[in-house]
Amino acid sequence: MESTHIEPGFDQAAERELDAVFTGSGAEYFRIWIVNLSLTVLTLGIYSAWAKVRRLQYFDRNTVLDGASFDFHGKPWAVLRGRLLAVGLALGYHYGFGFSANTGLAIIVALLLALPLLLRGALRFRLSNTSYRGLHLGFSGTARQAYLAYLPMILLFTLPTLLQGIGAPLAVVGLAGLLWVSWPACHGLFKCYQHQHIQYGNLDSRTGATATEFFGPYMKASLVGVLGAFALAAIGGIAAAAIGGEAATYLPIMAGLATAYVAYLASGPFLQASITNLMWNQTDFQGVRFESTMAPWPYIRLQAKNAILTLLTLGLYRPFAAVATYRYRLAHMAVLAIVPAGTVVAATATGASAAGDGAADLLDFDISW
Amino acid sequence: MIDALYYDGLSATAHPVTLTFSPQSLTLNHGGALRSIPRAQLALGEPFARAGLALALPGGGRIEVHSGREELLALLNYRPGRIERLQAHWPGAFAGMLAMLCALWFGYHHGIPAATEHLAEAMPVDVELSIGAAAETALTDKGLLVPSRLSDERLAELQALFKRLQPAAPRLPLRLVVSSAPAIRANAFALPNGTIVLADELVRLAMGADNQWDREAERMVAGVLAHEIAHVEQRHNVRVLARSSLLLGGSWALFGDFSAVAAGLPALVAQMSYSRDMETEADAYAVALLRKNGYSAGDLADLFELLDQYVRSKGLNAEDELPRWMRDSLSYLGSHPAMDERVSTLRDMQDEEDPVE
Repeated sequence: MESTHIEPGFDQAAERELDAVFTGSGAEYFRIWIVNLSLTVLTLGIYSAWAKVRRLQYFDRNTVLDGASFDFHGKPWAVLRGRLLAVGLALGYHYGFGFSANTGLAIIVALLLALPLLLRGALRFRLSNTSYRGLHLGFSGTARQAYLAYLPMILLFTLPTLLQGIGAPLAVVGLAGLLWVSWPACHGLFKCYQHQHIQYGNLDSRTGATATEFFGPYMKASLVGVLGAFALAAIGGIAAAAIGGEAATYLPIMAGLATAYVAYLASGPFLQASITNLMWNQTDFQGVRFESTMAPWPYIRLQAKNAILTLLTLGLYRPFAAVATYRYRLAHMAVLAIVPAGTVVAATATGASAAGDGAADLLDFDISW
Repeated sequence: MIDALYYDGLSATAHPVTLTFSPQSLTLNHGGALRSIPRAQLALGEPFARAGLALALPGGGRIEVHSGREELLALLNYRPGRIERLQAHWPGAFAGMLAMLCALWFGYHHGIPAATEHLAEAMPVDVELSIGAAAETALTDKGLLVPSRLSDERLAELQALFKRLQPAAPRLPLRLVVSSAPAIRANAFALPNGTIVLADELVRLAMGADNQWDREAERMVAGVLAHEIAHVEQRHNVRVLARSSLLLGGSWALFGDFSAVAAGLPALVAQMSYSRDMETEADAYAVALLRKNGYSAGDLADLFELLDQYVRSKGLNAEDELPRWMRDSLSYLGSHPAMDERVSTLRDMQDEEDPVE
């Protein structure tokens, strides 16, 4: 596969930040969203594939980088196929053990075998159907790498159910539960896989991040969650003592619920911001690098505002929230390029797929939501 | 003449071009070089309010127009589709929302119950038998179906009562199992294969402090058994399965875009409310069975009151310590309707019965 190398003659000082703008608006997206949601409901979910294509086109085409916008070319039928497949898999997983231990086991094994491929397929679908300046993106991760990247996560999710289904003693199931401490690394594994194989034209991405770097953000995020929980519990306890009487009995319950929710609301965005920065600051194409400057606390405030308004409006604020979040993320992602646009050319396609893995591709299924 | 940027699909360079239109074609002027493309071969991406217009050219090129949008749309004789027109105006959007809310309401109140019924009807009896058998095995393995410790005499009376209560031609062969497992406490439940499990504790509760199998105890246990028979006859387990699948699939398809929390919630709440309807339905069927055997709706009500007292005495139910507004919302959210409601419904039914004695 061809790739450009940066010639020593390139002037480092010539690196420039590409201007990024989002031209969409919450109001406009709300109208699109509500009409598409209505059609989805009226068609019992079938239209959701067209709705998804429209949503991706809306966000891609309203993202203007260096004066040019992105675009999404995926076909709704491909999305529909993927969704039907995803539903089938989910039902199989949900009800497999209800029939017999053997059926349940068979389904889990099938999932273990198929899921990494399907997840890779979803990545390939999303990226290869996205274009910028007339050149398509792509994903060059191989199937083998997909297994190495995704299996740990899948095993982590399915092992407890699997063990319970075959009737393993509770102690063993409990031990399997302990494996969850390795989740940050599992998360890191597949994120690194994703960032290591992005293609744009003849450029390939590469990341210096490693899976174990994910433990840091996770620990900090847990701390944020725990501290938030303690703070709220303390406030709840003091308030209950102050008000006294009947309120004292059910205020702790309400405080408990609120605490759990706030912990989720604070540590979630904190983690997202940290991981985005972690990954993108260490990802680059030849001649293009990124600076992700998402600040955890402003992002937490944004997501908290989104969550509260969404709840208060019974969900109607959701499209506004989506636009606000996207705008924030775009504003905090700097793309810095040394190479002029002209040096990026279309990837030399070798046969059926530019990924070079040779194996005949099933029509790529998009099982992501 | 419109200014645009042209991308040839071979490199990422933006080429400034000007566009001119004729009735049949578009002419691209790229620094003097002209290229003519028939209109029919142009593909315009859905125009969004402030996004650049994107024209796909045959052979893999692309034109982006960021200023002069309106002019371009006019020149292309662009006519927005129906959906785009709905999206463009607030009345259209709200009309869509209204249609959706009606559809959801209709689906919830008519669509899902109807579909659940069809699914449940279509489910062959064999499936019920095997699911029930699997459940029974699982319960036995978990130590929840331990043989009863009541006397043989008592057990014989219970079996006789059960036999009397059964409808003449039950849908499935019904079987009564009395279990002494403490984990069940004072409870009774029905499995899809027709096995009805009755806990020793419940029988003892009905017999009261004097531990007498008197007419009163018999009536209350009859109420419970009738209620459980109702669950089997009305295929409630199967309907719950069908219902939860439909709701899970439905809320996932519609709201799966929400966070995982939100996606689970609608289904959960709706599910709970259906279970409440089913319990009410079972109560009604049970009353019919009871009356046929000379008992009354009051017997079931008596049992529920007894159960409620029992549960409170054991400190198992914190509901009555909560203010009424919270209790009410909890009862809507809980999988069993508040005992008060069911008891008062049954008392109403008792009042309808002829005061024979």
